[in-house]
Amino acid sequence: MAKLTRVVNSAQEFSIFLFVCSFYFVGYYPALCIESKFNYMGNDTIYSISVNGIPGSSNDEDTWTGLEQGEHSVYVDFYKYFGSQLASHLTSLESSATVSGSVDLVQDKILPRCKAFLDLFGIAASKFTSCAITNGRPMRFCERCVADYQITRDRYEEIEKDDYHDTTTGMTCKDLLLNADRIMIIQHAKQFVENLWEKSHCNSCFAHFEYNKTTSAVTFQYDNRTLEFRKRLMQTEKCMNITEDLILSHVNKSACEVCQPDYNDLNEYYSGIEETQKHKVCMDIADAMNMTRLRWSKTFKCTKKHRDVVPVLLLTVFFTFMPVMFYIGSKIHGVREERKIMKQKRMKTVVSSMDSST
Amino acid sequence: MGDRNVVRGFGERTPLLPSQRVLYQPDASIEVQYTLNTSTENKGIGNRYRRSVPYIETSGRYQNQEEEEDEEDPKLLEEHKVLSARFQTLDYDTCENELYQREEKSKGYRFLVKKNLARWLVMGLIGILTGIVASGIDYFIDLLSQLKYKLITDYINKCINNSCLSIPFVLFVSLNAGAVLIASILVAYVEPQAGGSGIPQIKCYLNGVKIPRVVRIKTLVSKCIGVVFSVVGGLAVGKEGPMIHSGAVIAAGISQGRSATFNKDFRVFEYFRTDHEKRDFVSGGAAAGVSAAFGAPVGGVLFSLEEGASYWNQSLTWRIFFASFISTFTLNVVLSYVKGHPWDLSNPGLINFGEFNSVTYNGVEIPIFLMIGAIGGLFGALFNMINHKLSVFRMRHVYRKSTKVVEAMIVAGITAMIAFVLMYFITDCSPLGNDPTEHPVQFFCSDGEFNGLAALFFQTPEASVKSLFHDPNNSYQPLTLSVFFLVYFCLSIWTYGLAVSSGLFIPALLTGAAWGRLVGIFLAQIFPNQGWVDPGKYALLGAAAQLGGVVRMTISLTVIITEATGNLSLGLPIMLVLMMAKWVGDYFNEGIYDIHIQLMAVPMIQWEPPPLSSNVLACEVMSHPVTTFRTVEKVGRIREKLEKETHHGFPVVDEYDPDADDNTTFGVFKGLILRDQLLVLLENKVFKDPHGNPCNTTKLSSKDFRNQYPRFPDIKQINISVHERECTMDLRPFMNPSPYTVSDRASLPRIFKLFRGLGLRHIVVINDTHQVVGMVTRKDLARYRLEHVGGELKLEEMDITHS
Repeated sequence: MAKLTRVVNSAQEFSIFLFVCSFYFVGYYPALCIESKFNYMGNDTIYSISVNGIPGSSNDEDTWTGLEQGEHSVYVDFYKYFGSQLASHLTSLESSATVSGSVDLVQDKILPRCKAFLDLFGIAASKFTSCAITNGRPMRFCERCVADYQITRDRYEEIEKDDYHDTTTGMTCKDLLLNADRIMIIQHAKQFVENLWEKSHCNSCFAHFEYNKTTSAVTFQYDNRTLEFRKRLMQTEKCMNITEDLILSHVNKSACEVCQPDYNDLNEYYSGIEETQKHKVCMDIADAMNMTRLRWSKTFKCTKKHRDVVPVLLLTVFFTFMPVMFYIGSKIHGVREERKIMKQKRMKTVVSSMDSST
Repeated sequence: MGDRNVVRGFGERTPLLPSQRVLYQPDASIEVQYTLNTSTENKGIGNRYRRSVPYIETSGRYQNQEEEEDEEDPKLLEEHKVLSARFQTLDYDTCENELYQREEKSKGYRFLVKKNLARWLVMGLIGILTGIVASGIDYFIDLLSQLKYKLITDYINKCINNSCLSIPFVLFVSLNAGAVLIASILVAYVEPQAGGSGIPQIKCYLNGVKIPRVVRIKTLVSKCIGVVFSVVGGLAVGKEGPMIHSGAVIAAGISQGRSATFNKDFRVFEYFRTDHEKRDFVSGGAAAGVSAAFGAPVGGVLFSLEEGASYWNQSLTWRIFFASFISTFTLNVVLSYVKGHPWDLSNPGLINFGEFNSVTYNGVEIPIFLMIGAIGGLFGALFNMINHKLSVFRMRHVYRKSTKVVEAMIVAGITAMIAFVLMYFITDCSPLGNDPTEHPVQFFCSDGEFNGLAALFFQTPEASVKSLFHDPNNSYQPLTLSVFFLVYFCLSIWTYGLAVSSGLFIPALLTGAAWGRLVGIFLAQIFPNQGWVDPGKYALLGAAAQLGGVVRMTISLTVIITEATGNLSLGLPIMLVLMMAKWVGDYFNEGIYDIHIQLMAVPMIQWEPPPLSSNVLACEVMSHPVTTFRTVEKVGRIREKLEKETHHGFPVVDEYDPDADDNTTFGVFKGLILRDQLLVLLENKVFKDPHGNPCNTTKLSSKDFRNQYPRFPDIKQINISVHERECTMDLRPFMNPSPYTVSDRASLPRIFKLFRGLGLRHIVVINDTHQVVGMVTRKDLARYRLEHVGGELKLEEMDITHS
């Protein structure tokens, strides 16, 4: 027991550990039990966490308005919250498990310590997944799920770093959880999380982010470019929101010119980011830019294109004439001197040798 | 004696040659032939008669060779039906003369081990250097083309709102033309052998033909810089073909341990200074080149096997394999550093088809694959036909250096123009986000979208191929693909054969990928909701079919494509597609490389002897009369003959009187001496005065001959005084005492197999009394060529020209 404090080092987390331990005694994982557990989680806990977890996320108009420059510290009260909630439902769970009448196999029992790892990771991963899906559109994935992402990673790392050998089996939790079977659910879950993060180039949104074990908090700092982009985006949005009715109702093209400077400014700044980050722009930013562009050109129809056909056509005709002239010219002028055929040395007749042979 | 009848193609027992002989006569009836009764008893009569027909009609063509002046041929020569006399053959056969035997005896086992180790070392070095050169080319192409595309994209984006589109238009055209100017000057003025993909030249070299200057360092430099600028110039070319040539040059250079161009001798690998060793290393270099170009080490080995090396052995194959793997590994490591992920080995080749891991196929698709193969064969044959016509036109009318440069620039300009005009007028917009290019061009699309055609044109062709293979299903509209296919097909036909160094693989793959993807989209319309319909897969197979239809390579191409995709399960479809493409294409014409080899008038020896030619005998194939030297010959005569004749091998004989008239035999055969050897002997004045005393004390060894290799002095540069002309030379210690000979009754197929199998240069024809009656060289054999047009076969005999 003493060793476990290394992993579960805050009071809040200890409560969940208790819950987990009791879970272990119940003997779980029959289908019914899992179902009830997931129902329970899906109904209120996860939801409340995703709302409370990150400041500003409750503001559904435009989340970015609630953010200002500088460092953001997010206190993740999830585990405290979750732990106490779970503990209070412990008894109901226990009863449901007995009701299901599952067979309590010896092999189903794993070390409480490993079980704790498993559950902590499971909760973190599912919370990340949920966060990713709910923030998929409009895309605010990177900014809103950074805490969950970091915690998931951290939980996984803890499993990986585990080197406490169990006295009876001699196995570490790492062996038991990561290398024991061929499905490797935990690795796959981890991979999924990492892939999502990688593909969205989320890292380029942030200057840095880290998870502090002692305070159970994820601190992160936005990249300066992200903040600057956001500022300009908001300005453009503001302008567009004001002029939207004007443009849509009157189809007055001159209204486009009101926001044109802001829009151009934003576009240029975005191109700058693309340039410096070598096309690995954080998806939140890329998507916001795309949406603004689409709104600008599709809804507002403000994109003006000048098809200066005449000079292009003239040039085309000019260029087309060049090969025609060239080939006609070379056909007329350049006729290569014919090559001379060399006389081959051949036997005049083969009669003599042939006659001698027959 | 014979019946007049009309020849209908191929398949009669009658030899086809006589009718072709008649062809030389401008006003003779082409279709007439005298059928012969060729039973064994009166074969002699048959032969006699056969020969007499064309002999009478063709004025002087088969008359005795004493006349020296050349006769002007009245009709226009067909460029692909002549052989050029300027091409020499490699001496693949070792000359086992006394010097050689003495040297071998003195060296012993230690030397053998050392030489073998050196072979491995050289192969390793070839691999490393080829890999480095390939990475260098890749790096500079990337760098320059990104600069170009960025500049133009910026201008377009700026001008689209300000009515100044003609500026990026002119800029685009002139940038491309400017880059191609550099590329074509390098080829037209610096080194003509650096033109094209270099694969025909390497094919010839591996076949045993010494193409002048093809493995010089100057060629390598022009080739490498040239290919960078022709790709940057936006031509429809790739950098893969030139890699094969580069690998070959590197191999030829390293294995010699010196550079004749810089006159620098490192005094290493002196024992590799023979045609035999050099050609072995060149086959390794070509394999390393393929390997670096496509990330296909096995394909590289098979390429060397398929295209060259008539003489093949197991240990050489093993060494070539080593060079191949080293080359792709080196490229991988260097590129991993260039791309900023050291030792992340994910770039095995210059072109990488990307991962096709999840793609599988269904049994019902096999007929579709065969159809794709057939389409590829048709398109390939069309490509070859038009390119052939165009190349002939170029040889006749665009042959000046300056016009070649202008032509290349015009093609570059028009390529850019077409790309621009297409982007301008076809608005195919897709949303940004998964944009395939680094520089998405918006053109007239709404903000937040990019132009699909611009995406295909505004990246290097390699990247476009990859996009067509891997972009999501709805990235390209059918209209875009059709237009792109048509345009690119025409451009690639027009481009191949320009005076720039350019590869053919990528344009063919790109054209094929475009129509293959169209097929895929079409199939997806017919069979909706079928798991196996994947436009990317059809793009790959279309690309394979198109390439196979153009180049007609078989096993090596299959393996190269399979390796480049990294998916073995698509091996069978790729093979089926290539097989069909070859069959269908061969019905119409030959592969593009063979066509260009024919246009170069290179005497190339095919894999197989012409069929049904076994009644063509040695005495008909051989050259006659023969210039022979007596075992102890007068210096004056040697000098005179060397000046007069361009031959390379001279039989050494006994009992021969050169002054007698009307010789039909030329002395009793003793051995064979080569022109190079005679030149070295004359230069070192290994003479004996009329009394039989040596004129000087120099004692030559094999090393003296190797030191001159490969650039021997010209006979005109060697001074021989009047007094020395009366001296004699004993050729016996220097001649090859036991070269290959055949009887005058040997058939053409037999001689052919000896040449092909042993890599011979000369074969001496002797009669029953061991007297020399003739010589057979590569040109004597290569002049018989099987033509297959529209499924009909006929045997043709080619003329030989001076140039």
